[in-house]
Amino acid sequence: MDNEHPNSGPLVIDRDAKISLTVNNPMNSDELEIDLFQVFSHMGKSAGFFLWLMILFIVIGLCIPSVHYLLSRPPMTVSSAVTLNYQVPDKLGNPVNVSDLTAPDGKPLDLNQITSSYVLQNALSNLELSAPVGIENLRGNITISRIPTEESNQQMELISKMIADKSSTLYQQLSNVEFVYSNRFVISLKNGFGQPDSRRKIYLKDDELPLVLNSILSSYNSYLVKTYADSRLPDNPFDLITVEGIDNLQLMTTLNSALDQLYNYCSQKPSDIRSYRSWRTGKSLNDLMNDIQMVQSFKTYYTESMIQSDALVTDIADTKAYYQFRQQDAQQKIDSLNETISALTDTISNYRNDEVVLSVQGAESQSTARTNTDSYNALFISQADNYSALAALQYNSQMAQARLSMLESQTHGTVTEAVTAEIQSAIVSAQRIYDEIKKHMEELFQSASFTTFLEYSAAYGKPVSFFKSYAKPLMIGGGAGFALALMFWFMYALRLDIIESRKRFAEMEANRR
Amino acid sequence: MTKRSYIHIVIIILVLCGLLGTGIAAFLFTSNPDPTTASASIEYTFVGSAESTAPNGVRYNPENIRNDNILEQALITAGLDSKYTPGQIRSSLKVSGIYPQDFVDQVKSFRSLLDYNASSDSILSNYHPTQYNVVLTNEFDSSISASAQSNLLDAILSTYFTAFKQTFGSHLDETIYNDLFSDPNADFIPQLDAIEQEISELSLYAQEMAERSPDLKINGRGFEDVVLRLQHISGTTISQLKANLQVNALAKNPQRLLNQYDFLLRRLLVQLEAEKQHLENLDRLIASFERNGNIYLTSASSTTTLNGNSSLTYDKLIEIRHELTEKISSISSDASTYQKWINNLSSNKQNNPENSFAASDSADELTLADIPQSTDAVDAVSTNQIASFQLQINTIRQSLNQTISEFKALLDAYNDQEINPGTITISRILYKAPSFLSIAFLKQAIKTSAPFCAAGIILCIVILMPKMKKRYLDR
Repeated sequence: MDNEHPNSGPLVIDRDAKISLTVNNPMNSDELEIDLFQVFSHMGKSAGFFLWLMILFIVIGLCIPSVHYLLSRPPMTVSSAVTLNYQVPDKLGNPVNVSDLTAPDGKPLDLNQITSSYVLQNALSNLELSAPVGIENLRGNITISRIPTEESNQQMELISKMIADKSSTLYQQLSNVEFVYSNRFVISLKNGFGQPDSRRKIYLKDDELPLVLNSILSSYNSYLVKTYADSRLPDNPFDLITVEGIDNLQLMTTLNSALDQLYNYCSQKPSDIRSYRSWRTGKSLNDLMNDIQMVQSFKTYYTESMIQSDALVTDIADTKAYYQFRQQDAQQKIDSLNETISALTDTISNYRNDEVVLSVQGAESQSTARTNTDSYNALFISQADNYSALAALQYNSQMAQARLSMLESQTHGTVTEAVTAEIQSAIVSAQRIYDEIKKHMEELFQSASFTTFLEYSAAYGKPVSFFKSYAKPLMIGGGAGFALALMFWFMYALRLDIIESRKRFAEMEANRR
Repeated sequence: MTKRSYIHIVIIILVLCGLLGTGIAAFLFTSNPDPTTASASIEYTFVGSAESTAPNGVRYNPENIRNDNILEQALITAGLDSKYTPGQIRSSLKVSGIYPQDFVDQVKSFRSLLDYNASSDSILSNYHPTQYNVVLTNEFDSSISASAQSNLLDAILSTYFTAFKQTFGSHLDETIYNDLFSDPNADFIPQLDAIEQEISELSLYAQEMAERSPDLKINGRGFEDVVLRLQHISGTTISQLKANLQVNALAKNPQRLLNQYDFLLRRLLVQLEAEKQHLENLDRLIASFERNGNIYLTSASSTTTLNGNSSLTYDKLIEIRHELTEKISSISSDASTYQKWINNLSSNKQNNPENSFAASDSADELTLADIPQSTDAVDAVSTNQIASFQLQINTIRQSLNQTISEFKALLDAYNDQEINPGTITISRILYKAPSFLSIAFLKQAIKTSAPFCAAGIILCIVILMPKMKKRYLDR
């Protein structure tokens, strides 16, 4: 650096001339030289000290994010994919596999029941946790994400676009659209239980969280099975049917009617239940239904025909009165049902289905078309059921009449011990087939096929990795520590060099003088 | 102080800090040790396992390993039933499926996708795991030995395997038929009807099995052969015998059979009349149904259908009608069968009164007690015929029993083929106890020692820096 000014007169500045400005140092020294080699030399000499300082700064830089991680660690979240797995009635009552969020009774499924006290209490009662987590705490940390069907997904996207485009009118029209969700959903549970704004939260161990979520889903599955599964066993009237206290023919009628009820119980089950084959016997419910008919043919009708043909009853007047009552009762029900049928026929004939006006944009003419309403359709299904019930009542009435006629035309026979033994044998056979069906149903009600309303994947979630989430802060902290130490180191060496430079300058000045 | 001295000081401080951290970690590790675990994996590889469907077509749930019956049996097998209850073990037994990483990623990322917006990229596939981890964590007895814990898990898995084979295999218990219908004193036709019923059920079962496993053979015979044999017994042997009985109107007790058929026929005719009336009503109802077609409302971008479920309701009504007509034809068929029997029995009774021991005038007063006396009255030819027919029925029964034995052998072979240690693989039991050589301790030691070491470094620097500065200045 040359700061000498040879001219002491006024300064003349030529065009494009350069002005070199020298700033005096605070010690008013005219000459200050910084030799970078000297600076590095100083740095080299002080390396032992500053390397340690650098390590200290880097460690401090790394410790700051670590402390922050320990103080504000993000809580772990576990998720599980759930699939509904049962049959629901379609519009006509036929069972079909569930394809959306419909409950087994055909109504919308209330997923909020997952967080109900009943479900959560059951879930927690099966677990021994490291921290006392209450129902309220648990409820706040559960999130359920429904999955829209493809069509609903498109509608949602359309609405999102409209909101973005500010198409308010169309949005209002479309906002009434009911979205349909598939029969699957994702449920998540987040660690850190307590009030949302509270600083003090209860934390479970990371490996406990999946257990809690699995337990909740298992408990919800049990709730669905208890609420919706028809796990009613068939009524058992056979224990009460004995040869004492009731006349033979009435007893056989009661026995056959009980077997008919047992048959109806089986026939009302869905086809997949009826075709389930027992692992004990190899029989299905369909087989057992045939067996009921076989028992009737082989035993009960056989015995009843013998009693009826020979009027083998103890008190014929009492038996006649019984069938008279049955016949009258059935007739009364027939009359009542006929009135219902007649009224429904009138309703159907007067019912007007919906009329749809069809118009084409730009065309003047309009046309109309009719479309059935759900009520209209339901009236027909209801009337078909009425006719079915009427046929059953007519059969009962006619049979009671036929038995009455037979009894009136027959000579009263003698009831021997052999007859009683045969009746007893028929009761035993009926009881056996009942026992077999009961065992079959109990086996079925305990099987995974019947008790799985929900299929859910294992709960997955990983604790937030320190190195993964804190890599950047760690690098910044470490880098900052390094840079700071380096800066101090350089500054220190520079300071030494400046001091030496001044010394040299002072010596040179002294020599010149 | 030399440079080497500094290094020694640093090393000593760091080692001390490290030892202190490790000591604290060891104290924490031993004062609150992790429970010991015995674990194994179970893998299903039979056909259908990817849909969680067992070889018998029924859905299974590996969570059933925790079933009380299985745990109770396992405790007995392991000789620990007097020490622990199934309830204690169940809460310590964990069964979890193993899912592929892409599925796990989908589940984990799904929520965030939905939170942001509905997205067509949000895919969530369906997956049934075929491999499960079973872990028995010792939370029930701190004094249980490693071998006892491993043996208990082994017993649980073995019991589960046996129970699985039994519950999800295909079995047959023919004694139920004997309990319900077998009565050698019954008349010929009811006996044959009972055998036919049994054959019909068995055929259906064998047919299902043939469809499931068409290639399984024992001595060259498979399920299809069982079906053929059963059909042969029913279609040829029984039919021939029935025809013979019908043509000759032979019965052990014709009058009683006549009474039964008469009773059943009346019943069927009453039912037929009611159902025919039902059909007429239903036809009127269907004719009055207003069936409207679908309306399609089409715009440039979309099509909407208004169908009013008209076709669905109409189809339902037709389905009811179809079931009813089937019922009517079945009733008609049964009624005509009984009518035929009644005609044959009646005509035979008139033509050959000797074959009808109950065809006397005293039939009106017949009681069950009279049957043996009436049977005594049958002539020698009839007695021989009865014996002959009963012998033929017994032969049919024997032939059926033989076929049932073959069927059962095939079922056992099928179960062995589908459910065996190759299709349900249970891995070796792995026992883990908290140890100072374990990864868990290593992790804890690192976690605990790291802050101490960091503090040690800071301490070193703080101690050494003034000395080093002084040394430097001196130099």
